[in-house]
Amino acid sequence: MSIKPLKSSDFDLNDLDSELLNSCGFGIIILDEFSRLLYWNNWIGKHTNLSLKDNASEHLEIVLPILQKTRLLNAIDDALHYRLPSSLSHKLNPQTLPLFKACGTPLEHSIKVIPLKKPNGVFHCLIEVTDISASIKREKQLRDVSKKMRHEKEWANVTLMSIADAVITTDPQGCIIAANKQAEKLTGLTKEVMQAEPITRVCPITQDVDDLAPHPVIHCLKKSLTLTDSESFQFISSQGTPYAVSLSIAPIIDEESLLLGSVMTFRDITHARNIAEQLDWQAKHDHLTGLINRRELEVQLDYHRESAKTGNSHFLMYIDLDQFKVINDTCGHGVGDKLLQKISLMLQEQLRQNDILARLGGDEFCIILPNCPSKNAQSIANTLRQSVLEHRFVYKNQPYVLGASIGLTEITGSEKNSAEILSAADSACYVAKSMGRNRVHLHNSQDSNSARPQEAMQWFSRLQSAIEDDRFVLYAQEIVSINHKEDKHYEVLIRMLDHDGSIIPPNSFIPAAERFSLMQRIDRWVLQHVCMYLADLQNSDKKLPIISVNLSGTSIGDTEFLQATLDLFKQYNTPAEHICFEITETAAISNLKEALAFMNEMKKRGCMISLDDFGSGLSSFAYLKDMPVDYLKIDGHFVKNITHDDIDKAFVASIHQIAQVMNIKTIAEFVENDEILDLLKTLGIDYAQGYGIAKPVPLDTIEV
Amino acid sequence: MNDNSDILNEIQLDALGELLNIGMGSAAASLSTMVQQEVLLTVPVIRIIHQNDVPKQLDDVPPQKVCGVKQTFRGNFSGDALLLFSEEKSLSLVRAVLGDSIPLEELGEMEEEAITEIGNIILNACLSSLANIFKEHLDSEIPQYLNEDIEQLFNVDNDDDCFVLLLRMSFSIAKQDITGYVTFIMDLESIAKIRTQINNMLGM
Repeated sequence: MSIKPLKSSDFDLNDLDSELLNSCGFGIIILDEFSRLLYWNNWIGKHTNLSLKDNASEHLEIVLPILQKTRLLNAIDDALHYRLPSSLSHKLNPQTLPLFKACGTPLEHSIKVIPLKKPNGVFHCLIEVTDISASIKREKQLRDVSKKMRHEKEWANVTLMSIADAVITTDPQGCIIAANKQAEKLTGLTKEVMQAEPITRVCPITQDVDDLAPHPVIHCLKKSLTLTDSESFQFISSQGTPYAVSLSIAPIIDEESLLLGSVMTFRDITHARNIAEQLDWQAKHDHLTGLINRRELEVQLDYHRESAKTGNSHFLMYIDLDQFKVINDTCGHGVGDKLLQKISLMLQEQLRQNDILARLGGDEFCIILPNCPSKNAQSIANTLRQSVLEHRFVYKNQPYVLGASIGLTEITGSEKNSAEILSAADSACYVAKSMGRNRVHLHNSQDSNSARPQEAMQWFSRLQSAIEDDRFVLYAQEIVSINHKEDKHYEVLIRMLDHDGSIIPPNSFIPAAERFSLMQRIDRWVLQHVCMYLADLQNSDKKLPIISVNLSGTSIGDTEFLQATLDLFKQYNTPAEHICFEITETAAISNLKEALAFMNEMKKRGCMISLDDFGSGLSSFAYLKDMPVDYLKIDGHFVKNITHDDIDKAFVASIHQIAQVMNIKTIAEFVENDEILDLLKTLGIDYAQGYGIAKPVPLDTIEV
Repeated sequence: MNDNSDILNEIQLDALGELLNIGMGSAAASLSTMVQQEVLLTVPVIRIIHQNDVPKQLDDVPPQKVCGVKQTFRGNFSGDALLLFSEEKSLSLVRAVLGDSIPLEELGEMEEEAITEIGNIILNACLSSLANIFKEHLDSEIPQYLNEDIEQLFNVDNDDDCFVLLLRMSFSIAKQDITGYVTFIMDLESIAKIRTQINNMLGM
């Protein structure tokens, strides 16, 4: 195609068209079919800083140094030759034309190339240039913001994922929007499964106390409430595992107070709660028996003390097991512990549902009997005492008999504190014990001493001063030979002289002496006076009787006492063969090794040994074999009823039989009448002692 | 419905494919210059199908939404020329072209312009190839960006006897292979004209 010279008439605009095009806010360039410049509007002139007049009819690429040549020229070609329009984006063609803003910076633009059909059938080309600086700027801002948001989102996401607590966010309706890893772990569901699900379904949480309450998230959303570290919730995982959780929930509210949703964080505190519960339980209970302990008992006592003020009648029972120490020492602590567990169960079984059983420690138990009249309380106490007594405990084929000394006191509400109630019951128990054990004593405010510790302290000082003032006297009770005549034999018994000269029997002060470790001093006192007595008799050339001296367990277990005894013998030149030491079966067995050592040592010196209260405790003939015993003193309780109790009779008879085989003489105590004496005679018992034969009399009054 | 093979047979389709591939060569050259890296454009498959069947033909799993560029043309025969991608592929293409590191989901509509231009280049190449066959120019409108539901675009419910010349396009840019589709929606009359022209060209 030959190129025609261009005439100005080829492109003529009327004034109106010209004004219209020049007022456009975008650039217009028109090229002829040979891609020569026909026209551009003022916008192009302004941004290229070139005049149309100087450049008209030149090829566009000569007029303007086109930077992205190929694309624009192809587009122009498409328009002129194929009548195809083109669109040139800024992104792919950043700076096609050298256009500048007034300030000199490049003007960002996009281009459209459009074929223009001329009446003569040829095609011209319209180039439309649009300033897109504003949108580029907007786009840049948008990208920056979105990049920032993306980073923040990522940051938030990483933070969320690394939080050790489970975090779940919901929309205002309580449907799940997001959940972190820990939440997946606790719920047992993946994020994807939880997404958009109602939290009530995926994450069921109930309040421990009220499982009908609405889901806490729903509650917080409805009321716009915040919940912080509440630990009274339980969460059930999809596998049905319940967790104790610490829960925090906060509604998410925007600046305009519009509710956007909620965020819930929770933490599995099952372990912590279990530990707390365990600690709490341990603090309140005795670990051996599972019963409540002294501390919790005091709490319960305070409660019942308050309740008593409104007229309710409650009782407190204080139980001390008799003989338990012996079992513990003989059979070992493991066995003792088992026995305590058994006794606890046995006691519990016999109680009413509301009764409260506690173990104070050792062999001491307490029971609160709520709403219980005095008569019933005593009857319950006696039932319990009886069942302890009847409780057969067998260890290595050896039966052991337990007893219970029980103190009872009413909770009146007038006590100052729980300690006062406990002390009253303890005191009553003490009285029961000192009255001979295995009995129930109801505390009575008229009892000479209301509280046991006080009472005991008083006894302590009374004993102390009695020892210092030498205010003891020895009594003697004759032990007679039943079947043949022999030397006279007496058991010395101690009495205390009170300040007013009254005589106090041993069962009043011996328990206190035992408690305050004064027994050895008393034993020494007795022994010394017996030695002195025998020395006096020797000096006056009188016939010497055999004197039985009671020794406590602490004395025989102490080597110092042994030495002291030898010293006394030496000092008073005591004829040892006239001394018989009486040691209770229980004391001997509890300190077996020391007892044997003491017995053997004394036997060497010529002393005799009598095993006291035989039958009340272990009655072990096996031990007997190893002991150098001369006499067995059968426990008085068997003797007392021997005439009308066949079992007691058989018991006494069998003890005697075995003793005989072992070449041990038997002594029966508590012989209160001739009937008993006659029976003992037929049984072959060697000696008898008791009120029916001779009452105890002051030692210095006996006739030898 | 007519049997598709009656409309254009294998030989005719092959010839058409050859011609279109020549057109693609210049489009690829144009793109290569713009993005300063090698761009390969090929038309490996060309078919004629009923327009209702188009969605089934796009990818293995037809995308719900497609985006692309549309240019309506008129002349000896008329119709709509469309370059279509699944939404994701269109963005992959832009990213490949622009060498952008922005994640796909962020590209979105900000890239409308660029997609329009790429579509424009390719559709212009196709249209000029067709113009060469007919030795007659087609008038085309300015390209338009599309982001539509595919079912709606191809009027599945409409029982018009409109046929589609479907070209599968293979783009190879920056070590990425991206598949797109060019469709020419034309009525039977326009198709018949194409067949006549191809036959003339082939001397049949």
